[in-house]
Amino acid sequence: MNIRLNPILKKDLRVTSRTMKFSWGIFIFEAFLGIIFLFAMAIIYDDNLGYTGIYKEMIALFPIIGGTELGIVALIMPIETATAITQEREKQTFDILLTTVMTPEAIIRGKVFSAVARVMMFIIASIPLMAISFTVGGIGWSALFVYLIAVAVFAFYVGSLGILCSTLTHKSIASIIIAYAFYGLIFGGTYMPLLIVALFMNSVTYVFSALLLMLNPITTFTVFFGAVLAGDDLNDLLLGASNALGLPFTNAWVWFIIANLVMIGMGLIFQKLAARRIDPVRGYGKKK
Amino acid sequence: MIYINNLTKLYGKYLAVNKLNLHVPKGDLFGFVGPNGAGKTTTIRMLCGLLRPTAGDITVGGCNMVYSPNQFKKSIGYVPDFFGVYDNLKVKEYMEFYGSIYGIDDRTVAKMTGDLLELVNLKNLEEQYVDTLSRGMKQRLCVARALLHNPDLLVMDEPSSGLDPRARVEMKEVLLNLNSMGKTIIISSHILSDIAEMCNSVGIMNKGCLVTAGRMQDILSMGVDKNHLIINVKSNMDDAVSHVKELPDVSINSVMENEIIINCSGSDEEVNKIIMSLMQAGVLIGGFRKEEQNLETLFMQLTSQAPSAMHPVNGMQSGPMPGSPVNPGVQPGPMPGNPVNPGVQPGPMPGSLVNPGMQPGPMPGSVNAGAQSEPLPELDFLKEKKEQDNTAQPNTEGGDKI
Repeated sequence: MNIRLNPILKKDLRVTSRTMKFSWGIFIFEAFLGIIFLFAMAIIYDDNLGYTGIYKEMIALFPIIGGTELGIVALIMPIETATAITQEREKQTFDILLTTVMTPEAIIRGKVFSAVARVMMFIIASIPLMAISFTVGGIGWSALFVYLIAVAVFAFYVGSLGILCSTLTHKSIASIIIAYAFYGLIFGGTYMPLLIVALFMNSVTYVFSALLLMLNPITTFTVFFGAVLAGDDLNDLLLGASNALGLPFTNAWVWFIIANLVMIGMGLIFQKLAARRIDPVRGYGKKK
Repeated sequence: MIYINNLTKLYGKYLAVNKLNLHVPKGDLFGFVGPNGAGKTTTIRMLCGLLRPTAGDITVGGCNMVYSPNQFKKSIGYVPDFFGVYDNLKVKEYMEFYGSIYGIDDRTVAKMTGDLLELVNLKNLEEQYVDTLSRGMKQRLCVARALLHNPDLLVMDEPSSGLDPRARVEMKEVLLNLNSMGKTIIISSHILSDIAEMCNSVGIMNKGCLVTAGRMQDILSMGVDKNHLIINVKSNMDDAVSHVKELPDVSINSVMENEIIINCSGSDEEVNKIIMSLMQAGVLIGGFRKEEQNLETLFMQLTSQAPSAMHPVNGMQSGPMPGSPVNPGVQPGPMPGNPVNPGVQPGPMPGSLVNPGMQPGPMPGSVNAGAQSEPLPELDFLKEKKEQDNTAQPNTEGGDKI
């Protein structure tokens, strides 16, 4: 069977796997996670010295390692993606690409998927480390599978945003700065309306400001880890909040799934905007 | 092959290309020349779909940029002035990458790569990393890449810029070779001697307007000024000058220490008359020669004239385009400081490349957007080249179409 990969994805994967930079990147990533893992183990062991249920406490390794991974991904994604188009421009290969039959959408898609693929290589490389918290902490393999999908969605979302930033300027440094600013808005800025409403108002706007958090991957993964660790306890909490504040969701998994769909939708919108930005003859035909 | 109709590009209020009309027949090697800022690169970028025209139509091989963009792009191979490379990519992988963009499988690309690299004198370099190649090699690799999908038209923006003399000669050979195989090629260049040597047709741009365009020999014989007769005077220079001044239909262009340059029609009869007359007047003549018009002198003359004095060929049109769908803010008539000649009437001159009757919109036979894409063509021109290896024939296709 001949699977037709996006040419940019194929080329980027080939070039990436050939460089020492990528190998060193994975090594440093793994080493950093290993250190965090050992610290977490030491803290769990110290807190539970002599307690026979220590293995159950190992479940905490899952959000710790997972959260650390997501933090690293959030940090490296702007560098990976916000330079994708600007580097093509700087190397003067972009014009050639635009004169080929490849559509702007396909170019953007290829860039996003190659960034997602690179990130997933990092994540998959860390599975053995995470597996310890499964074997000793009692987490099911399905949780790991869902986690991997969620990370891919997260990478798709922030990667698409990074690519959009990459089309806004012609300089790599400027696009990285813009990307970090947008990431700050998404990771931190989306909490602001909720905070303002909670402090100064008392109205139905609470619901809308809470729903805005669906754009925030921190909230999504908090819900995910909460659902995995606390199970029905978290649902009870959400039910209470829903009754008191009028939130439409009473189940953590429903929130998690909808939030992921929102992130995919936003990612597609970012890609569409990016494709429009790089299309040199956009709107030309419509004037006819 | 190429029909450009009323092509216009405005950057804000700056008119970069002004209602350019051009027709380049199939099989031509067309040179685009003009000073910096003339609008050559802007025109080429619009032709390749890298820049949105403010108004006008471009059709290549019957495919319109608007109605069949995919077919349009398939019919063009673009070679930019600066060849950027991807790091850590071998020559064969570079070709595979672009092959996969056009849907050609790796095995076919590998075969084609060998043939194309041989064509551009880069044989056996498949395993070399692209970023280790010299600039001239990269430029020729770029030509091979542009030919991978067998386009009808090759567009090259300053192909010789930054190349050493040897690389320039090699590039020239490659282009002539391709042209002899029937490829239509458009070259933008500042190196007029290269254009004059290689191209069989030429267009001169200045300040956004196509000043003149046509077959190379027609352009060179056109002459915007009278020909020069340079006479070497051994004695009695003052007598010679005063005598020439009295001759009808000639004028003195300049007088140097022992040379006198005369503006005349350049006919043998007239030259004979001038020389005989000077000899009869007792002027000792050391020798004489006619200074023939070449692309460089013509270029200098055409591009140094004030816009209003530009040569009125090629249907350079002024004023607003009837029913122009874009830029409602643009005032009719020439922009302040733009090179439009209000006195120039639309319509082609004899020998012009312009097709005045051409209507905007798709050309007859143009492929519409819904048309089925054709299977990728074989590199027929390479096969033919191999067959004709020993019986090379000069390319005359399209020679009489202008």
